[in-house]
Amino acid sequence: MSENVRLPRPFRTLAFIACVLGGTVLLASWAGSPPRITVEVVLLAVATLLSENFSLPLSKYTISLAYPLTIAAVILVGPSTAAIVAALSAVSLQDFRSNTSPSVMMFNMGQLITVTVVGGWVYGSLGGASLLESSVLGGASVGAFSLPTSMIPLTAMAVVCALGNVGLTGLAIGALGRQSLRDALANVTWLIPSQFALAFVGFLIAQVLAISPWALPFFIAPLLVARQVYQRYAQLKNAYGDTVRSLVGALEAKDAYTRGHSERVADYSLELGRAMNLDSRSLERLEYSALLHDLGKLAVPSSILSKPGSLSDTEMDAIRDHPSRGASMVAKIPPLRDLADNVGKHHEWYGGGGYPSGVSAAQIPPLALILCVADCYDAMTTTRAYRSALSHEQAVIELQSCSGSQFDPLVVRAFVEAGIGLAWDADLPGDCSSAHRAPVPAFEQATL
Amino acid sequence: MIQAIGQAHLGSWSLSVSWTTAFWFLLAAFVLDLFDISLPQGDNIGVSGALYAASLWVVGPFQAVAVCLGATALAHMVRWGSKAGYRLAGVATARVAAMGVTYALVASSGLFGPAIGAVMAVMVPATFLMVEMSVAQIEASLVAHHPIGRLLTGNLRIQAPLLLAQWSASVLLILTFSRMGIWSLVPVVALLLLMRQSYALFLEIRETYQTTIEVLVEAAESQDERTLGHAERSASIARAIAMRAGLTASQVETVSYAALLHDVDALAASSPQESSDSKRGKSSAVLEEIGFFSEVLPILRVCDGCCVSQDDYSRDEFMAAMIVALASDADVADHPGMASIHHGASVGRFSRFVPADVKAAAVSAALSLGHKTQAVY
Repeated sequence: MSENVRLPRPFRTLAFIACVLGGTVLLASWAGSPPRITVEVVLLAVATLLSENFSLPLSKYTISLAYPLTIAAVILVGPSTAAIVAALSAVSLQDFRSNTSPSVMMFNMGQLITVTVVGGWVYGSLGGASLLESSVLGGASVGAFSLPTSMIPLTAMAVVCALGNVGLTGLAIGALGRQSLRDALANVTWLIPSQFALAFVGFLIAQVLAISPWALPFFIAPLLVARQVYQRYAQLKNAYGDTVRSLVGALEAKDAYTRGHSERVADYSLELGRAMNLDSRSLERLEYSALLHDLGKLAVPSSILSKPGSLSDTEMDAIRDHPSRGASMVAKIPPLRDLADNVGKHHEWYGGGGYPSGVSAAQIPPLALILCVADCYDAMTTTRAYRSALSHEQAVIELQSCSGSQFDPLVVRAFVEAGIGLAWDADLPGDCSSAHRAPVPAFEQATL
Repeated sequence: MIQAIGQAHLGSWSLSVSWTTAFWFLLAAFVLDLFDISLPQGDNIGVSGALYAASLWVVGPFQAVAVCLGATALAHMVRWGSKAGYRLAGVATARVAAMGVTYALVASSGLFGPAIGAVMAVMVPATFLMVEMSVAQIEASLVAHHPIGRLLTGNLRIQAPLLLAQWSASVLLILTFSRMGIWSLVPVVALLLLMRQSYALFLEIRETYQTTIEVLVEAAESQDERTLGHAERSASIARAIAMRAGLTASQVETVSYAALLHDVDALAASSPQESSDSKRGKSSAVLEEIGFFSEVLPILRVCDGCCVSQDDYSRDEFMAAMIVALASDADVADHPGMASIHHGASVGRFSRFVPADVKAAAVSAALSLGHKTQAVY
């Protein structure tokens, strides 16, 4: 996040608290046990710096490989020295190059030091030994303790570090005000299992370093492969929505009257979903449902879609069949299978009597009720072969008059209260599509 | 350290000749095999090779073969049930062959004395993994009649990072086994599962793209029963020709997308008249703005007749375009009803710009699969 964008006060306060907390726990841990710089620690520090400068930027936070290295440092030399490795994992040339706000860097460093020292303290309190210290103090050979005896402290440390890191990062994203705290936490909690696995990788790194520090390069290939493949996945996943938008747009372009319809419905639906306080997962499902809601209509001949006069029974059947056809097509895409019901029921009415099956609210998925309003609003405010476009005000009056019969009253109320459609220029569909995609700063997320 | 392990154990062959240790290896390998990622062509992306390679060094040759056969059979039977037979035979053959070659290598290393131990601890996993992959690719080439040379080099290039990662994990297991005993399996399996999980997510999203595009094209094609299924059939034929011509897996995938989308301009046309306008042919223009298709676009541009000389595109792009056009022509030839309305990729539109040897390779691959092709000049 560049300097010229002023971060919200709650975030700056959180960054200050994290920084002070990090500094306090660091000094407290050094008072109890001064840091010990060994060859292993230097190697870990160098590896951490390198991994940070090749970290993987995701949309809201950053994934790096520093986490297992920090865990390894705790196991090797204890938390007071590991805190230095943790602090280094918050130093990235990329941050300086991109003028990342000092508040973000302060937050990252503070939270990583705090989480590492607290995790290390839990590890030590539950009987977890430091590999190099046990050698010095107890005269035991390096790496003498086994995984079974370290399992409980290691697991406890993994839990504390994963929850602390994920929780604080989620809190920070929430404090930025770009996402609700619930969404922010939901967006990062899926990282917990991989963080847990990486804690065991950290244990392996510690063991290998204790045996021979020069064996550290053997970790490069597995961790880099995992990260590179994950990076390609993240890129493809981020681009999926845009690809579907573009492709649907290209295929819809054949009909002058419905050109851009699905994209606009997706944007109205997203605004409605936000106004109704849906979580981010539901918003994503809503967006994909909206983009694909008229998939079945692609199969309807243009001659029917653009027919100016009244339709014959056969032609009307073809139109009325499009939600079911669309649903069966969406069901063929495995990860989107559960969206088929939204697509199949977006022409059902809240009070019953819609098509294709005439069911009422109880049997209609909530996202389909939102789609229904967004779809009808766009249909009303664009020119069709059989009538000219209504104004925004006329369309809203129509929505309100059909509220409770065709449309869900809650959705209509949210539509009106949020002023959806007011800012749209019917001649420039899609211009606001990127309005909700403001960039957010990168965060440290020390996991794969 | 590796040298110490080698010196201590070359004489007795392994670190721990124990059936109990072998059992834990079998269990861990079974878990990893159970979560192998199956690819559409019947190929697998697995990470268990790291454990099999290390088991050869850690538990000894007989136990390692038992681990290999036991875990492979168990995982295949759990996953595929009665359909396991063919797959199981192929995978087991590759792994046992790899064990045999690696064993021969290590056995002969005794001639060079214990100083060679460190090198051997590194060479054992490398040999096992390379031989396993090579045998698997030879099997695949025999089944599908692919040229082995290009298939092997292509797949080696693609799988090199995964092989390197497995090799590293294997060496790490050998390295830590002497200190941690069987518990060294826990963090190594965690590391392998992380790699596996990344691949699984990546393949899942790739499959999502492919099915989404297939579904969208199918939806648009449904307008006219005469063209329904042409894109998917062309993609299927193009994949077969591309594999026969020895293209790499990623090239085959790109060719498949290009074939699927070669008529997208007709699908996006506003009227049947427009869609059958033989002068149009601008599928690449329809997809120009979509970043995901950046590798497909040059192929479609060639198919659209946008080239004016041999220097405009690379040999691979000409080859891919030839395959797409041959596949489309073959499908049109098989479905005579389409001939009058199909305007899309056709060899005749651009073949004069294609290098002669590329033309010959693509056409001979198509002919060898029994597809009809028009005369290519």
